[in-house]
Amino acid sequence: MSTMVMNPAGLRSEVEDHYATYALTMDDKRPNAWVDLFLAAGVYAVGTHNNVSTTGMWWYTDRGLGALKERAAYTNGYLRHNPTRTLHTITNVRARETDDGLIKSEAYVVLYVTDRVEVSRFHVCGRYDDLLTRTDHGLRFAEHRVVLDAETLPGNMGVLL
Amino acid sequence: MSVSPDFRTDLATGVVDRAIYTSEEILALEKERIFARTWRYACTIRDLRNPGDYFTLSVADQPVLVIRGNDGEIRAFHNACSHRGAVLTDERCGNQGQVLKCMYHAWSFNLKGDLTGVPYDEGYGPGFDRGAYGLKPVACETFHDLVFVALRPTVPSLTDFLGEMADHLAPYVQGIEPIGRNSWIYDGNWKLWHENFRDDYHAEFTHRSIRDLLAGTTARGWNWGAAPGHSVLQWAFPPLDPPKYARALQRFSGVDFSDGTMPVGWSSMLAQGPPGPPEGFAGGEPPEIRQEVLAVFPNLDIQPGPKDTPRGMKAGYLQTVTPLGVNRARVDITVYSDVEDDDATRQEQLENLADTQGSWGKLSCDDTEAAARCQIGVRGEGGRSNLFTRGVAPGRGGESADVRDEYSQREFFRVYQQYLRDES
Ligand code: FES
Ligand SMILES: [Fe+2]
Repeated sequence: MSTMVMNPAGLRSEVEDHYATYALTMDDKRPNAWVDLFLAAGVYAVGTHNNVSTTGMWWYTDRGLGALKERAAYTNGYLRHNPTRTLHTITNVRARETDDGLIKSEAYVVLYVTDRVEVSRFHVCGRYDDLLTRTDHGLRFAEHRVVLDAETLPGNMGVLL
Repeated sequence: MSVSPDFRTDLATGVVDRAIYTSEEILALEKERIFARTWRYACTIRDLRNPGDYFTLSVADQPVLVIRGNDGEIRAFHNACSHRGAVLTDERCGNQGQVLKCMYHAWSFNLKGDLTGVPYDEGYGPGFDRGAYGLKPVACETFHDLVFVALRPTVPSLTDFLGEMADHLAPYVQGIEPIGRNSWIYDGNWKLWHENFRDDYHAEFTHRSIRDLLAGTTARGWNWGAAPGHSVLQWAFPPLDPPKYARALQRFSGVDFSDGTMPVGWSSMLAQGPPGPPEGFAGGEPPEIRQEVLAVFPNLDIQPGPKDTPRGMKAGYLQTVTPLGVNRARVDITVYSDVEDDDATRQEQLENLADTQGSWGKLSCDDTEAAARCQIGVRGEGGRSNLFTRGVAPGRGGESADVRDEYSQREFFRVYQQYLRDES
C-alpha cells in the first residue's frame, strides 16, 4: 500500500517541472537530452488505449539505453520524413511517492505538429503512466508509458511522446 | 488489346497513367468495379471464436458485418437495419450475444440474419412478412484461418480468386491468432501503399536502416507476379552490421553513440540475433534465412516472419488499405502469432513486428513519406505516367527474376485494368 507524501503540491510541482523539461527536449529537438531524462535501464512504451486495456500489450517498448538512443535517433532525423515542429502540452499532473522510494506520476499529453505546408494542427493525445526516480541530477524516468486515446492514428507517428 | 478510353497508357505494360492516383471518376470506378467485385479480407477466424462474435468493415464504402452463429458458421451481412438503414453496430469488433438489435426502433435479428423482433408489429397490418426483412447476406468464405467477404464477386470461389497465390499463402495462415491491431490514415492514394509492398527497388534507398544495418538485403531474392493480380517478393537476410548502423544513426540525428552503446536494431534483431535455422536442422552450413511479402489483389498484404523458421511461419502481420478519397487512405494492420504462443511470447511478437510496421514503424514511416511525396508530385503536369517496367524478360517473373524487378506491380496493374474495363 503506497502512501501520499506530506506535501503533494510540492511533489506535483517537482514533477511538473520534470515534464516541462521533458517537453522541451522533444520540442527543441535535443535528442541526447531526451535520452538523459531516462535511467540507463529505463523503459519507454507506447500503446493505444484499446490494445493496452484489452490485451495488456504495448505497441512498442524500448528497454534500456541502446533502444532509447535508437528511438531518439529515428525520431530526430533518421526517418525520411521532414522534421516538423512539435508542441507537447503536458497537463493534469498527479504524483505520489511509493513505498519503495519511487514516484508514481500520471499526466495528460496533447501533441500538436506543424506539417509540411506549415499548418499547425492537433496530432494525437493520450495519457502518461510513469514511474520516476530521484537522482543527483534530478528526476529521471524509470518507466515512461504512453497510452494514446485514438485507435486510428495519423500516418506519421515517428515522433517522441 | 485496345487501351481503355479512361487511360492514356496500357497499364499492363507497367507504364501507368498518373490519373489513376488523382481522378475522382477512377476512384468511383475502383469502388464499383474492383472493391465491390473482389474478395476482401475481413478478419481471422479467431477474431470470431464464439457465437455472437462479430467484426465490421467497409467494402466499397458499404458497411459489412461478419458474425459467428450458434451453429459455428461464419456469415456476413450488410451492416444496415432492414427498417431504415441504421448500422447495427458501429464498433470494430465485439460480441453481440444472441441478437442484433437496432438502436433506432429496436428491430432485432438473430445470428442468421432473420428478423425476429419488431416492436408493435400489429401496426404494419396482417400482411406484414418478416421473412422479407432479414439482413441482406454478403458472400463469405474462409481460406484456412482468414475470412473473406465479397459484395458481387466476379470470381465466385475464393480459392479461384487466390489462384496461384493459394498454395503459396496456405502454409502461413494456419494456426494463427491476432494479438494486436493498429489503424492509421495517410495522405496518399490507396494504391501507393499497396504498391509499396510489391516494391523492393526502394528498400535500400528509402530506408536508411536497411542500407546501414542490412546492406545487400536485396542482393539475393526474387519477384513474382502470381496470377491473377497477386505477387510475392522474397529476399535473403544479409549479415547485420551494428557498428555501421550506430555510426549512421549518430550522423543523421546527432544522438551520441560514441560511448559504445549499441542500438538494438528494429525488431530487436541485434539483441536476439538473426532468425535461427529451421527446427530440426542438424549440422552443416545452415540454409539462408529468407523473408517474403505476399500481396493479394486488390489491397491485402501479408508479411510473415522469416520463412521456414520455427517462429516465422506463424507470426507476422496482415494489412489492408482502404481508400478514403483519391488522396487519403486508411491502413488496418493485424499482428498475429502462433495459437500455441504463451502471453510473454505474444508480447514479444507484437513488439517485434510492430517495431517496423504501422504508423510508428521504423520502416513504415519512411514508406508513408514516399507515398505522401508521390501523391503531391503526381498531381502536377510533371509527367503523365509512373514507371513499373523493371525486369524485361517476358512472363511474370518468379525465382529467376531479381527482387527489384516489377513483375509484381505489372501483374497488379494488368488485373486492375481488366476489372476497371469490365462493364458487365
Ligand atoms: S432503423 Fe433499425 S429499427 Fe428502425
Ligand atoms: Fe518500404
